Amino acid sequence: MVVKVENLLKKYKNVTAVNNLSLEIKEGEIFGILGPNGSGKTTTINCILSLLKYESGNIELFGEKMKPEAYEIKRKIGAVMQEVAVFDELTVYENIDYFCGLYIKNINEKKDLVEEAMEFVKIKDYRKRYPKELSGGLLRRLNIACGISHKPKLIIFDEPTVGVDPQSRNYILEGIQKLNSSGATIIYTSHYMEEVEQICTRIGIVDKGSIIALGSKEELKNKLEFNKRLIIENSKVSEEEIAEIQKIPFVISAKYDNGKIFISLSKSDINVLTILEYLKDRNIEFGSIQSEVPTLNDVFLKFTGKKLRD
Amino acid sequence: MLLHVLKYKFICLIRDKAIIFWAFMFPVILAVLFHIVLININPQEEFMKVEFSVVDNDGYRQDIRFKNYVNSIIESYENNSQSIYNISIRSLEESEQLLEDNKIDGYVKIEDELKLIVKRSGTEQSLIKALLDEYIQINSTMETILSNNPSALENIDLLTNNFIEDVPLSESDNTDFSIMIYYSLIAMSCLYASFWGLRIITLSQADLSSIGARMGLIPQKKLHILAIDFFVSWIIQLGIITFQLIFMSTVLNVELLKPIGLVFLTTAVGSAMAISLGSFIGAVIKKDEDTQVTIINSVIGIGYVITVSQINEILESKLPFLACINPIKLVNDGLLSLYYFDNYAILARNVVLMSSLTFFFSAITYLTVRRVKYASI
Ligand SMILES: Nc1ncnc2c1ncn2[C@@H]1O[C@H](COP(=O)(O)OP(=O)(O)O)[C@@H](O)[C@H]1O
Ligand SMILES: [Mg+2]
Repeated sequence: MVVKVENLLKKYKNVTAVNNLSLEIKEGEIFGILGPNGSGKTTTINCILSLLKYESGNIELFGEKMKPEAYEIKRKIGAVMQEVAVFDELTVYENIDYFCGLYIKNINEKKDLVEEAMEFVKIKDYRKRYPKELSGGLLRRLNIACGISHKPKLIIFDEPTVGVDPQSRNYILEGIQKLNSSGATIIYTSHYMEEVEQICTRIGIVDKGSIIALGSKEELKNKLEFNKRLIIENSKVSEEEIAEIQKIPFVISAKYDNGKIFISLSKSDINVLTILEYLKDRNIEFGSIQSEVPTLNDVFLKFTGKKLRD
Repeated sequence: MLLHVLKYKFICLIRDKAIIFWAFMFPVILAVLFHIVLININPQEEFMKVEFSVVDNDGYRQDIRFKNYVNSIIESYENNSQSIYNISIRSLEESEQLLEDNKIDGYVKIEDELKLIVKRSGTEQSLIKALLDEYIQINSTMETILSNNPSALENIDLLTNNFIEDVPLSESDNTDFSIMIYYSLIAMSCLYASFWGLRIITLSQADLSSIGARMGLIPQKKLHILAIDFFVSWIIQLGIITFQLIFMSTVLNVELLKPIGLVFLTTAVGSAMAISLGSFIGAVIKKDEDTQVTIINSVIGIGYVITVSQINEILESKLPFLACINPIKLVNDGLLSLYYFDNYAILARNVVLMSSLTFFFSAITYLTVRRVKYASI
C-alpha cells in the first residue's frame, strides 16, 4: 500500500472540510479524486503531505506514518500543487535545478534529471525564460517539472489543468500516464470528470469531504441502473403514451419535458428499435435522436442528488 | 546542498528589483539629492561676512567686559579664516556714515545699555544681534554667579576668545548637518534589510506562499534553509552598505567616520537587526504581504523622520523607551557617536541594544515558524 488514509477528519474553525475520509492506494495506480470545488480535495492532499494539522485520523505513506520530519518518505514524494510555486527571479532551468538540488546531491545526476524533466513537459525551448514570460499552460508545465524532476515514487497532482489551453492539457494528461508507466503511483485530483475518466485506473468521488463512491470507472457506472439514455427531440406525447413507454422492456424511466422525451434504458443494444417502432405505430412525430452513455456526472447525481459542476 | 541553496538564494536576492531598489538605489539617490542641495547652500555661507562697528564712546571704554569680548572676536577674526564677524572700533560719526553708505551692516553703541543700530533687517543683522544676545546672556550669568559667590569666577573668564572658537557659528555647523544626513541614510539603508527578512519568512511558510508549501515538502530541515537564507541576505546587505559608503566618500566627498571597523560593526549589527525585524513581522503579523510591506515601510519612514527631525527630542523626553528602540536611531546614533565623541560608550550601548533586539526578534520568529504543520493554508 503506497497511501493509506483512515478516518481523516479536518476542520477549519467551524467548517468541516474533510469528514471521516478513508482510502487506500496501491503501487502503480492512477488514483483520481473527483469532486466539485470546495469538496475537500486540496485539504485532503495537504493532510496527506503533513502540511496541515488534522483533528483525527491516521495517514501512512509507504507503510510508515507520515510526519513533517519523515524526510525519507518526503524524498519519495513529488507534489504538483494547485497554485503555481516557482521563483519569479529564476529562469525555467534554474527553477527546476533549484528544487531538484534540494533532493539530489550528485551534480551530474541532478543535471541529467533536470534535462529529463524539461524534456518531459516539453519546455526546453524556454529554458532561459522567466516565469513572467510564460503563458498559463507553460507555467503549469514548469510547475510540474519542478515537482517531479527528482523521480518520486508517489506523485500528487492537485488540479493541474485548471486554466490551461487544450494543447498543454493534453501534454499534461499524457505526461501523467507516462510517469505512471515508468513506475510512479499517482494521485490526481480534478473537478473535470472527462480527465478523470480518461486517465485514472481507480476513482474516488468526493462531496462535502467524504468519499461517496469508489472504484474503477466501470465499477462506478455499474452502480447506476441504466447504461444508456435516449433523448428524442421535437416530439409531442401524452401522459398515457409516456406511461406506455415506461412499460416497454428494459426501459427504466421515461419522462417528457419541453418537447423532449428522456428515456433511460438498462440494456444498450436491442431496445432503441423497439422504442422507435412504438413511436411509429402511434404516429408520433419526432426530430433527431441522441443517445448517451452514462458519465461520472450521473454517478455523482445518483449519490448526491445534484450535478457535478462541469 | 549548502552551496546549492547559497547560490540560488544569492541569485534570487540580487535579481529582486524592488528590494534592490529600496535597499540599494534609494539611499544613494537621496544622498545625491542632498549633495546637490548642500553644494548650492555652501558657497553662499562660505562668503558670508558680517561687518559692524562699535562706537568708541565713554560707555564702551568703561565697560571692561564688553571690551574684552569685542577684542576676543577681533582677534579670532584675524587668526581664523572661518570667523565671520569683522568688528571695527570707530567714532559715532564714522559709524553713521559707513552705515549710510552700506559699508557696514550696523553699529553698536553703549549708552545706559547696549544698542544695535541697523538700516534694515536681514541675516547679517540677525547674526550681530545673536552675538550681542550671547554676550548679554553670559554677562548676566556672570553677574548672578558673582553676586552669590564673588570668588567663584576668579580664574575663569567666560568672555575670552575660547568661547568663540569652541562654538563656531557657521561652516562647521554645516558639516555636522551634512554628515548627519548622509549617515542617517546609511542607517536607513540598513533598515531596508527588513525586506530581505520578510521575504525569507514568506517563502518558507506554507500558509504564506505557494513556494512555502513546496518548501514544506522537501527532505531538509526547514531551519537549515532559513539559516542559510538569513546569512546570504546579511552578506548581500553588507555588500550594499560597503558600496554606499565607498560611493559617498569617493563621489560625494563625504568624510568617512573612523575607525572604519566600528562603522562596519555598527552597520553589520544594524542589518542583522533589520533582517530579524522583517522576519519577525512576517512571522507574527499574519496578513497579506502588502500589509506587511506597508508596516515595514512605516517603521522605516517614521523611524527616519523621527531620527532626523526634532520630534526625536520631544520623544526622548516624553517617551524615552520608544526613542531608544527606534531602529534607525540606534544605527544612526551609533554611527554619529563616532563623529561627535571620542569615547565609545554610546556606540557600545547601541550595539548591545541592537544585538538584544536581534536576539528578541529572532527568538520570536523561531518560536513561530518552528511549527511545521499548519492549521490552515
Ligand atoms: N484556509 C481555509 N480556511 C477556512 N476554510 C477553508 C480553507 N481552505 C479551504 N476551506 C474550506 O474547506 C472546504 C474544502 O476546501 P478545499 O479542500 O480547498 O476544496 P477543493 O480543493 O476540493 O476545491 C471548502 O468549504 C473551503 O471553503
Ligand atoms: Mg482544490
